[in-house]
Amino acid sequence: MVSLLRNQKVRNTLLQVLFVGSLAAMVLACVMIARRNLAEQGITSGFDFLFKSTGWDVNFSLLPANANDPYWWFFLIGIINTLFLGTTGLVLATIVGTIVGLARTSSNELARLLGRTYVDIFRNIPLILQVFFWYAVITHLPTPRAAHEAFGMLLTSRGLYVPIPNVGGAALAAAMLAVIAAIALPVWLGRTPRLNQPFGERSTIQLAGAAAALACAAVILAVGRLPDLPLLDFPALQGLNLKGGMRIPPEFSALAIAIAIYGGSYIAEIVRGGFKAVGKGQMEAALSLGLSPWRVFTLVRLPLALRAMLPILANQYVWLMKATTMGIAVGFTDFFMIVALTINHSGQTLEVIGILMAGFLAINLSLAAVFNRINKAIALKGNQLRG
Amino acid sequence: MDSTLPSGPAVRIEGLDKHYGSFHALRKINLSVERGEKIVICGPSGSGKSTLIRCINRLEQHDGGRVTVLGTELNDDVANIDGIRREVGMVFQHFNLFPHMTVLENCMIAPMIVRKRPRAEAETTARRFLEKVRIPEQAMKFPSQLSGGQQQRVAIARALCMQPQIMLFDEPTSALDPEMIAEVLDVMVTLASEGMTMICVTHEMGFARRVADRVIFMDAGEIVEEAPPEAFFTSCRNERTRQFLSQVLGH
Amino acid sequence: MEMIVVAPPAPGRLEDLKRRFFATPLQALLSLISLTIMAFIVWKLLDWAVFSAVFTTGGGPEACQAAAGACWSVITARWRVILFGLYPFEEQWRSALACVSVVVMTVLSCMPAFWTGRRIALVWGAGTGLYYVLMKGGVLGLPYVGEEAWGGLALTLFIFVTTCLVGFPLAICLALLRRSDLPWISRTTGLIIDGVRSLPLISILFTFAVVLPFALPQWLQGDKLYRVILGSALFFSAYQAEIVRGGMQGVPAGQEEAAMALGMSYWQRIGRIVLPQAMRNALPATINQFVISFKETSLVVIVGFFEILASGNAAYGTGEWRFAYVEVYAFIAFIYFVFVFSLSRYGAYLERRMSVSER
Repeated sequence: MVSLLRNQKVRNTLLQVLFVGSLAAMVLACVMIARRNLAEQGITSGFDFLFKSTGWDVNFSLLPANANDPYWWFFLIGIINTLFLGTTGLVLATIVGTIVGLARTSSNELARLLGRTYVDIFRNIPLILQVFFWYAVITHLPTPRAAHEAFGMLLTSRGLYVPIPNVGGAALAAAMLAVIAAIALPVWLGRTPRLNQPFGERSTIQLAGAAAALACAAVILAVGRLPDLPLLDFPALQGLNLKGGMRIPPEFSALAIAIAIYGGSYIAEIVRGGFKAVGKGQMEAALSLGLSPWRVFTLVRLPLALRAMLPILANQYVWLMKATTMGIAVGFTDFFMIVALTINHSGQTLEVIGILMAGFLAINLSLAAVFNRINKAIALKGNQLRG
Repeated sequence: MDSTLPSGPAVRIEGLDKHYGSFHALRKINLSVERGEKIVICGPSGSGKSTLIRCINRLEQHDGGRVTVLGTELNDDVANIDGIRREVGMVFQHFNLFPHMTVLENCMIAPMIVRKRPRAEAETTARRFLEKVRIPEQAMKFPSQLSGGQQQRVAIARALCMQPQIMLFDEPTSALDPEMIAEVLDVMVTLASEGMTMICVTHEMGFARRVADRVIFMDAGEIVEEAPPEAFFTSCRNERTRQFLSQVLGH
Repeated sequence: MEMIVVAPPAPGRLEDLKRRFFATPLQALLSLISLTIMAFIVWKLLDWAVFSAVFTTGGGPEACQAAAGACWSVITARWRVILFGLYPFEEQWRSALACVSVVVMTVLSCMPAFWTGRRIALVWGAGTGLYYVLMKGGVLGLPYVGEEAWGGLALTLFIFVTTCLVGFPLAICLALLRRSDLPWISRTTGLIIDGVRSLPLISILFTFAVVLPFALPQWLQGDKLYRVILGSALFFSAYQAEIVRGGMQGVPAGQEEAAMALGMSYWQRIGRIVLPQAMRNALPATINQFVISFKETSLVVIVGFFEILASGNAAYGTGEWRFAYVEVYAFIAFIYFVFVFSLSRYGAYLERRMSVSER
C-alpha cells in the first residue's frame, strides 16, 4: 500500500481525482444546501419564473417595458441597456482617449503636460467615485423650471433634454443605417479588387458612394417625417413639466460621463504606447522618401500604431463593458441590476446567478470574437514588423 | 542513501527506449558504466546523447527498458528518484546557476535543504570546492558578474558540494568562448584523476583522448561505436564515426 | 576624417522659449491653446478652492453656502465621519493608529530589504494583526468595538489589506495549479481563473455578500465583511495568478532542471528557485494589480459597507451640508489620489530600475 502511494503514476491519478472530486463535491454541496434553503422559503427551482410578470418596473429602457412584462423580457432589456451604455461609454472614452493620447505624444511640451496631468488625475481616482460625483452634480442641477439652456438642450436635475427629429421610429432607424453605410461604403469600395479603375479614380467612386448613401438618408428622413410638425422637436417647459425632446436620465449621463473620462485616461495611455511602439526607422524612412508630415502620419505612423494598440484596446473595452455594472450604484437598470432585483423579488437565486454568468460570458466572448476579426483583417501580412 | 553501496556497476542501462511523440530519440540502448570509469559520449546534434544522460538522473522519463543507478532501478517510485538525484551530480551546457543567489549560496543551498547539513558545514564544504575549481575569491559575487568559464566552474563546484558518486556533464564547454574552454576542462581532468565516475557528453576530443576509459559514438538514437580512446581515434570501424571524427577534428 | 564640432551659440532666454514653444505656426497655435486651457483651469480651480473658499466652521453651513468658492468647512466639520465612519468618537484615535500601522506596513514592504518571503509575510502579518487588535479591542484594556462599527478610510484600508493578504497566497496556489503537469488539475484551475476573470467584480461581491449565505451551512457563513473580503480576494487572485504564471514562464526551464538534478523536492524547487525569480519578473505587473485592486475596494459600497465613499455620502447627505457634495468628493478623491498615485509612481520607478539593471 505504502509503495503504491510512492508510485508516480498512482500518485498523479490520485491527486487529480482528489482535486477535481473535492471541487465538484463542494459545488454540489453548496447547490444542495441552497436548494433546500430555497425550498423552505417556498421557492421551487427551475426556469418557469422567466415567464411570470415581474411586478416592478425599470427606469431606463430602449424597449417598451412595464410591470406586467415577464422576467425574460426584463433580462433582455438589461442586456440591451448594458450594451447601450457600454457602447456609448466606449465610443466617448475612445474619443477622449485619442485626443488626450495625441496630446501626450505631440511634439509640443505644453500639450504633453496637459495630457499627462489629465491622465495622472483621472486614472488615479476610482471610477465609482467619479460616477457618484457626476451623479451628484447632475441631480443638483436646477429643477426643470429654472433649467439651463444650451444649443437647444435643457440641463435639469431630472436629466438632460435633447431635441430629436420628428420622424417615425422605423424611418429614423433606416436613416441611421444609411449613415453607417455612408461610412462603410468607401472603405468597402477601397478594398474591392474588382473595381480596378473602370470608371476613373478610385477615390471619386468612394466619394460618390458616400454621397449616394447620405442622399438616401436625407430622402428617408424627408419621407418619414411626421406631418405638420417642425423637423426638430425641441424640449420646452409646459406648466410644471418639460415637454418634447428626448430625456436622457441622470443615471445614464452620469455613468456615460464617468466612463468616458476614466476610460479615456486609460485609452490615452494605450494610444501613447501604440505610437511609441512605431519604430523611429519607419518614420525616418517615410520622411526621407519626401512624404509630407501629414502623409507620414496617416500612411505610416497611424496604421502601424493602430495595429500595436488594438489587442490592448480590446482588453480595455472588455473592462469598460464590465464597468457598466456600476449602474447599480446610482440605480441604472443595467443587466446586473436586473439580476440583483430579480434575486430580491423572485428569490430564484441559483438560476439567476447562472443567467448572470452566462450573460457576461456571452458579452466577453462576442467582444473577443469581434476584435479577433478586426485584428486578423488589419494584421500585417508576413512578419515584416516583428521580424 | 548509504555510502556502503551494493557492488556492481555504477550505471547499468538495458534496452533503453525513448520517444518524443512520434520521434524515436533512443533505440534499445545498452550501456554499463563501472565505478570510477570515465565515459565520453559524442555524436552529431540530435543523436540522443543528451537525452541518454538525462535519463540517468531522470530529467527525462524513459518509456522502455531498465535504468539502474548505483543498484537502484529508476521507475515510477518517487523515493528512488529523489535518492538517485542526490548521488548523481549534473553540469549543464548553459550552467543554470541560480541568478538570485551568490556563488557561495549556489553551492550551499542543496547540501543544506536536501542533505540537511548545518549551515557552517555546508559553507566549509562549499569553500573547499570553490577552492578546488580555483575561484575561491568569487564566493560573494552573483553569477551574472562572472565570465562564462567561471560560471561553469561554479556549476561544477555546486554539483560536487552534494558529494555525488557519479557526475554527468552535458556539453559543458559548448556555450563557452574558446579561451575559457581550457579552464573548465582542466577542472574536469583534475576531477577525473581523483577517481570520480564521470559520463561526459562533449566534442572535446583532446579531453576524451586524455581522460576517457571509453569513447561512445551515437547517431540517430543508437550507440554506433564504443571503444577505448586509442582504438576509437585510430581504427574506428564505422563510416558514420569516421565522417564525424573528420568534421570534429577538422582534417 | 575629423569633424569640427561647432557649439551652437548659447541661446538667450527669449530665443529658448521661442524655439521650444513657437517654432512653427502650428506649434505656436498648439502652445497657445494649451496655455489658455491650463490658465483657465488653474485660475478657476485656485479661485474656487482657495481665494473664494471658506475654511472655518465659524459661520455655519449658511455662511458657507453663500460663499462663491469651495466650502471646506464641511470637511472641518465632518472629517472624522469620513475617515472613521461610525467608530465610537472617543476611540477614534485607535482607528487613526490602525491606519498608520497599515501605511507603515505598505511603505516597509516597498523596501527591497524586506523582499524575502518570510520577511514580507512577517511585516504583513504584524501590520494586519496590529490593525485588528487596535480596531477590535477587547484586550489590553481597549474597549471592544465590533466590525459593524468600523468605517471610513479605516475600513477601506482593512478590506484592501486583507484582500491582498488572502489573495496573494491564493494567487500563487492558483498559478502553481494551472502550471501543473497533471492535465485535469491545470484545466480545472484554468476554468476557474478564466471564469472569475470574465465576471465583473461587483457581481462577485454581490454573490458572496447576498447569495452565499443560502448555499453554505450555518457554521460556515461567517460575518458578511469577511465573506466580501473573501470574494474580493478571489477576484484579486484570479488576476494575480496570471501575473505570477507569466513571471514563472520567464524563468528558464534550466533553472528547475538544475534544482531537480541537485535532488530538490517539488516544494524546494518552487520555494527556493522558481518563485523568487518569478516574483521578481512579475513585480511591476504586481504593483499595477495592487493599484487596481486598491481602487476597486471602493466597490464594496454597493453591497452596503460604510467605507470611505459611503461615509462621504453620509457626510454631506444628511441635513445642513447637502450642497457641499463637490468638496466632500474632492476630499475623498484626494485621499485616493495620494495612495494610488504614490503606489503607481513607485511601480513605474521599479520598472525603470529593473529595465536598466537588465542591460
